[in-house]
This record gives sequence, C-alpha cells and structure tokens, in this order.
Amino acid sequence: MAGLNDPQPQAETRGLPRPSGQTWSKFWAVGRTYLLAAVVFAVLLSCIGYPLLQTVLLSFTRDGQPSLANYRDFFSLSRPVNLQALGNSLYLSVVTVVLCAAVGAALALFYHRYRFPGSQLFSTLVITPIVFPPLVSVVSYMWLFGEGGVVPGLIRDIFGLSKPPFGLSGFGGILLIHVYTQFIYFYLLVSAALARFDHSLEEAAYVLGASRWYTLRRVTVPLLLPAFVAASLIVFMVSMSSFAAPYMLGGRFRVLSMQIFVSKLNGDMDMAAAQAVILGMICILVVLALRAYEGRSQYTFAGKGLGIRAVPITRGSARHLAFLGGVLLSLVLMLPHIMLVIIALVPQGTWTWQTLPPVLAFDNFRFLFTRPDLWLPVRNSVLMAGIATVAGVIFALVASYLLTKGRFRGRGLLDALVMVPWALPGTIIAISMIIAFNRPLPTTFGKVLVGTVWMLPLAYFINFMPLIVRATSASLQQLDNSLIESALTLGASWFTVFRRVILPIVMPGVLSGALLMFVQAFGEFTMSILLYVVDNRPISIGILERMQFFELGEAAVLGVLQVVLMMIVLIITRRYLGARATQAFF
Amino acid sequence: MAHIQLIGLSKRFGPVTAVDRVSLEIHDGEFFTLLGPSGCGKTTTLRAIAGLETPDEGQIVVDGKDITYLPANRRRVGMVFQNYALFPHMNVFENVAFGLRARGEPAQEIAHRVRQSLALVRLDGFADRKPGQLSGGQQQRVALARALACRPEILLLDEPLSNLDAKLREETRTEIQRLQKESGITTVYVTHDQSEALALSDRIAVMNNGRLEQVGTPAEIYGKPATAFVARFIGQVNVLAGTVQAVEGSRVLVDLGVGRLWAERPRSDPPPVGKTVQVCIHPENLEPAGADSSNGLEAQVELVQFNGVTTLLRFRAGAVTLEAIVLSRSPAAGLRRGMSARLTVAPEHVLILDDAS
Ligand SMILES: Nc1ncnc2c1ncn2[C@@H]1O[C@H](COP(=O)(O)OP(=O)(O)OP(=O)(O)O)[C@@H](O)[C@H]1O
Ligand SMILES: [Mg+2]
Repeated sequence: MAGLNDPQPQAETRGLPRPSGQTWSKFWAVGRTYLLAAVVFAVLLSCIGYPLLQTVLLSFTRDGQPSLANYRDFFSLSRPVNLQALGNSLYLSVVTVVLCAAVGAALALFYHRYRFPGSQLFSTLVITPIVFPPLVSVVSYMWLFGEGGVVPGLIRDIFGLSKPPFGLSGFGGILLIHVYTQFIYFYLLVSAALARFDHSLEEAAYVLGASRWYTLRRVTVPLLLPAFVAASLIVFMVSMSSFAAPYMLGGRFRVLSMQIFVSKLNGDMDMAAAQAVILGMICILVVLALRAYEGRSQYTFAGKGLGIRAVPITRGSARHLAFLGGVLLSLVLMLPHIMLVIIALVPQGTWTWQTLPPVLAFDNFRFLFTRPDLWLPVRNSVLMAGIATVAGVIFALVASYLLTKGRFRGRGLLDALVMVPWALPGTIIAISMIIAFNRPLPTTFGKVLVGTVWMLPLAYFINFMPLIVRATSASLQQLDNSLIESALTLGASWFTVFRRVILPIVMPGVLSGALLMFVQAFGEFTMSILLYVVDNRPISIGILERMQFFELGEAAVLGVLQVVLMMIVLIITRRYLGARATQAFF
Repeated sequence: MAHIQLIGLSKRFGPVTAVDRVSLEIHDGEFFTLLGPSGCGKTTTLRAIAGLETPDEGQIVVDGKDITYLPANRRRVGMVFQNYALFPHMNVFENVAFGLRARGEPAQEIAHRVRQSLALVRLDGFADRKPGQLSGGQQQRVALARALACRPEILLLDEPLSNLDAKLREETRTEIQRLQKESGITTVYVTHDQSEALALSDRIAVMNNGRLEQVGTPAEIYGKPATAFVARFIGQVNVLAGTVQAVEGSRVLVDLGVGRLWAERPRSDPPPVGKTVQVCIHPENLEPAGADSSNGLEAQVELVQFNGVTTLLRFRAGAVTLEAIVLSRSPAAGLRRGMSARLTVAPEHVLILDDAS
C-alpha cells in the first residue's frame, strides 16, 4: 500500500554541496550563446551600425557644426538639383516597375499557360539577364544601341539614312537597361505564384456561377497579387539604388544615387551624408513594407496549388508562331551577351568604319595572360572577393547558427541587422564607410582604413554577407536540432559536432551562398568606384579604364570573364538549391 | 551503474513552467518511466538529465556527484530521440561508431563494439546502409545501438515507440525490455502511453503540468492511484464525487447521492465528516450481483459491450454512470439493457483520492 495518497514520495530534497568550478560551468552552459551573440553583434555594429550612425550624425552637421543646413539645401526650392534628382529617381523607379510588371508578368503567364516545342527551354532562357554584372550589361547595351552602336548603325545602312536614327542615352537608356535587368523579378515571382496557384479555385468559381471576368477579378488577381506587390517593391528598391546605368548613360539626367557620388567627388561629405540618409530611408521603408506585406499575406503561399494547367498549342500555325516568338525573345535577351562576345573577339584597330566587325580572333583573350593592366584587376578582384567570401562564410556560420538554433533575447534585432546591408544601396554603404573609417578606431586596430586596399574587401563583406547568411540559415533550418544533441550525448566535442555533423549537412547551402557572394563581389561596380585605390583596382574599374582608352576588346574580355563565372556559379547553385538559386542571385 | 537524483528541478521557458520543482530518485539498474500527457514536461526533464537543457533551479546528482551544469558531451549518457536523429550523411556503421570515434577509441575496438551493438539489436548485415534505406523500426534499433555502443551509465529514451505502427510497437517494446534487463543499465523512459509504461517499468512517475503527481510501481500506480488525475490518466476507472458521512476504524463511509459506500481509509489523515471527496473504483472490482451484498448500489444496465474474454457493462444510477468489466463466461455477462442489478464492491477497492489537483 506504499505510495497511496502520497503523491510525492520525496527523494533527498536537501541540496548537495556544489562542486568547485560550478559557477564557471553554469556560466558556460547558460552564457555560451550570449558570448557568440556578443561577438556577432560586435562585428555587425562596428561594420554596419557604427558607419551608418556616423553618417546620420554627419548629415546633421555643416563644417563640423550641428546644423540642418544639408537638409535645408536638399529641399531648397531655389536650387532644386537634389529635389530634381529625388524626383527623377522616384519617377524612373515607378516607370521601371510598371514596365517590368508588364513584361515579366506577360512572359510568366505565356510560358505557364502554353506548351509548344521548346517552351521549356525558352522559359529557362528568360533568366539569362541575371548572369550579367551591372556594369557589363550597361556596356553591352551601349555597344548595341548607344551612339555609334551596332543596331542604330544597321538601321542607318538598311534604310540608307545619313546618320544613325537614335542612340541610347539619358532617361530612355537607363529605363531600357532597367527593364532588361529587372523584369526578371516579376517573371520569377509571378511564375512561382502561378506554379502554386490552385486551378480548382477558378473552377469552383465557375461552378458557383461566376463569369470569367468576375473570376479573374475576384479569384485569380487577388491570389496573384502578393507576387506583384513583392516584385514591385523589390524592383522599386533596386531601381532606386541603381548606379551603373545612371553613371554610364545618365548625362544630365541625375538620380539620387549619382548625386551622392557627385557630392563625394566635390568633397562635400556633409551633403553626401544627408543624401545617403534620404535614399537609405526610402530603401528601408520599402523593405519594411515588403516584410509587413509578406507577413500579412502568408496564406497565399500556404496553399498546395496544383498549378495552372499548361495548355498544349495544337494548331500547326499557332505552334510555329509560338516557337518563332520563343526563338526571337531568347535572341533579344541574349543579344547583349552575344555582343559582348563579339566585341571581345575584335582585335584592336580592325573595326573602324564598318557596321559589323570584319575580323574576329582570340587576341584579346591572350592579353589576359600577358598584359598586367588586364590581369592585375582580375587578380585583385579574385583576391578581394575571396577575402570577403572567406570572412562571410565564417561570419555566416556563426550568425546563422544563432539565428536558427540560438535561444536568446535580441534574435529579432540580429535578424534585422544582418539584413540591413541587403536593403541599402552600395553607394550608401561605401559613403558611410568613408565617413566612419577616415580616422583611427579601436575596431580598425587604430588604423585609418580610408585610402587603404582594405576598404573594398570590407565593403564586399558588408554588402554581400546577407546572401550567404540567408543561404546558410536556410540549410541550418533543415538540420534537425536533435542531430546536434544526439552527437553531444554521444560524447562528441563541439568541434567534432561542427566538423562531422553540422558542416557536412549545411555544406551545400554554405557553398552556394559563398559562390554567390563571390561572383557578386567579383563584378561589383558601385562601391568599387567609390572606394578603390591604385593598388587594388578591381575588374569593374579595369573595364572602365579600358573603355577610356578605347580598348573595347580588352574591356569585353573582362566582361566575358565575369559572365562565364556567373554562369558556372548559377549552374552549380541550381544543383544544390534548385529553383531557389535564381532568386538567391539578387 | 548509476543512481540518479533530481532535487527540486525547475525549468521555465518564458511564461511556461515546463518542469516545476520535481524531486525524485531513480535507482541503479532501474527501468524508470516518466508518464504524462502531452506538454507536461517529460521531455524537458529527460533533456535536463542528458545535459541538453540547463535547469533554472535544482540539482541533478548522479552517483553522489552534482552534474547539473556538466556539458552534455561529458556525461556518460545514451539517448534515443523521438525521431531517432540518425545522421543522414553517415551509414549505419558510422552512426553507431560516432560516439566511439568521438571518444577516440582505437579502430579495432570500434569495429568490435559496433558489431556487438548491431548484433544486440539484431541488425548485423545492415552496416553499410544509409538511414534513409531503413524502415522505421530498423532506424529505431540503430538509434538504440548507437546509444548503447558507448556503454553509457544511463540510457534515456524519449517516446522511442511513438513513430512505429502498432504491431512493431509491441515487438520493439519487448526488445527494449530484454536489452535493458540484459545490460542492467539505469534507464529513464518517456511516454504518454500508460499501457507501455505499465508493461515496461520498474517504477513510474506520473507528471502533470510540470509537477509530479505520483511515483510508484506499476501495480501501485494502477491499483492505488493517488489523485483523480492519475486515476483517470492510467485507466478506464470510475471516479465519483461524494461526501464523508462517518469514519470508523479503517473504513470511511461516503455518500454518493445515489447510495452509500464504505471506502478504504487513506493512509494520510482521514477526511473530516462532511468533506467532499472523490472516490475511485476500478471497473473490474465492481461486481454486478456479487456475493457480498453489504457494500453496494442499485443501478440499471445501460449498455452491454462484448469484448471477447471480458464484457463491459455500463450502469446508470441516478446521475451517476458506472462501468464494470466482467468475464464473459460469468453470469453477470448475461445482463441485458434495462435490467436492474446491485453493484457491489469490497471496501478496500473503493479508494479515496487526494484532492490536491
Ligand atoms: N524550447 C522550448 N521553448 C519554449 N517552450 C518549450 C520548449 N521546450 C518545451 N517547451 C514547453 O514546455 C512544456 C513542456 O514541454 P515538454 O516537451 O517537456 O513536454 P512533453 O511532456 O515531452 O510533451 P510531449 O508528450 O508532447 O512530447 C510545453 O508547454 C512546451 O511547450
Ligand atoms: Mg516530449
């Protein structure tokens, strides 16, 4: 009868004396996570938080005195250069969004709705613009459509005109390049939404007596809307941050990101800071809107859609037409790549007055191995992107571990801080680094970083680290906690757990993230032009220099190198990440 | 092997108190079960023993040594996770060898011990398979072999059978019992299935809302539940409310509204006259038309359910429903719906429950 009505036959309730060293063990058991978090926060705050804070502070000073003069000048109606630039940026971004939405959604709908010979291949080829670094796509477009470009030249010849009918520049030129490089966001997001779309919902509406129009308005559009909103916000943000196209083609059409660059060139850092703050606020607001919207409309992503049924095109003539359309479209999308390769194959001085190049040869590629002004930028970029990537991998492993497995206060803050550089344009990151690191700091080992070769790798690290953190977090999320725990109970040290359990499982994600980060840093232009010094001219600056010397072939060779590298990376990461790889490219 | 003491153990997750001042003792070589409904804190307690959760208060003592804050990888504990947690990128051999390698055992010893462990769970010949190529039951046995290969002092099992189908569950549970008895390893087993707990354990701790309700042998937990919670959780028992009318020697008279029954006097202080109490009667102790007619109630048959060896009879007396289980070959099984009968029960089978909860 023992135990009856005796709910807790208590064991020894008096505590035992604690062994020595207990305080330390307890601290280690509880504080380990906080220790790691402290390190990660220290890195984030000194690399991102501090420079941004300095920028905000500087924007409220004029010649060292606290002042609102920068903002007064910015919004001044008597000298409205900045206001005009802001207006231009907003206008350009809105028009870009509208055009990208039209092109991207139309292509997504078309390729999802219809099946015809080659449609699978064509729909994959639509993503070719993403293997273009920003500067290279602008350069290719200039060769194609710019003043003295091939296409206007051909039109002149064909129609016997006295001069080329048009030349890409200014607002129109920027817009064309924006659409070419950014419609892809709409294409991908709308495609994904269509793939999830449950066709039976439309059928249900028909059965309930709804007309086609009513169903489109009340069922189809609301379900696809989140994709449009998300893509619009992203494209808007990318357009606001865009730098290469306005820099190369803008002329007198000034946008806000260019104004920051000009202020910096003029040595007016106070103004540059204020401009950066305003541009940064807009970008952050857009990202916040994106997050809020994604959180609110999650339900649309939850459904297990059956996908819109693809309709095979059966009528012969329509099939031919569709096929022809696919070929043409793919050609148009690949035209800049083709142009780039052709220019790379034109030996110096052989293509002068002709509309099309008379000689093609591999001379320029050979120079890559013989001329230091060609291979040095490549080496520099490999080195700097490599350093940034290695740092990124180490940082991402720790930060992602904390983000996905850690239990501590401030995880939300960490998540937000890590993503800040993703939201900010390169101009802002570069400007804030110039502002913060132009004096000795404890975090920079008492050195002035501005003017050293270290600014660029650091900038690459800051700007592209979110890519690898996201990729790593995604794969860590799939690593079940119990795997780590069972390894621990089996007596493995933390190092062993990391090496034998965590690393093998998250490797594909980390590797993909690292490759993506590397190619982005490799071809980076915006921060590069703001931060490079003679000793570390990266590949994008190399292209610019070759162009200035009219060595177009050499410039194109550097471009081809980047495009090929990006293609290889895209193929590898698609292996690991599947379709997500394409989205990770941004 | 190992003797475990939990002393005033508490663990909170934000506002939730997952484990609330739990104190218990697990003897050397014992098969000890933590039993309770979902979310009652079983897993958290187990994880604290493994070193995977750091308690907010209290101590964990093994063989007289405080190990509360000893890192998990320095405790000699084997754990089988609910989802088995086999490393997907390693084959069966590498999985089982993992702990031995981590401890730096010589290769020959590792090969020998892995073979031994796999033989123990009857999986010789599966060494080269990846976890993905094994059935659920086989994965479960690999997890067990992996935990045992390191010769731990304590074996922790978190609902190891819950992912298996009913038939495999029976088999595996016998297997686990055999392994435990052969190795004599102190084992803490977590389950929410009371039949599993009763069948396997030397002793059981029933948990509710982070607290211990009762600790005892399966027979005690089943036969003499201390609280209404335990009574209801362990089995299909009749729990009735009543008031104390008299206390005489070792007997207490309880008025149930539809009749009066003599009950066993609880070991703690007897309840005062007039107090409202709950009593528990196991259905197999209720005898329709029993021989001893002194202690019983009049009731009407509401339902007869034939279950093979036994037959379930449900009676109604006023607002009270009572269930009785009788052997199908006994005369009582011949009762039919609508008939009246006198249900009798020996006073020692009427248990007054603690009303703590
Ligand atoms: N990591 C955690 N963070 C927050 N709350 C937790 C965590 N782990 C457990 N809890 C909470 O603590 C309580 C006890 O959880 P525990 O996992 O110990 O229950 P359990 O008895 O094992 O339940 P089950 O049978 O469902 O496995 C639950 O309310 C649970 O939600
Ligand atoms: Mg559990």
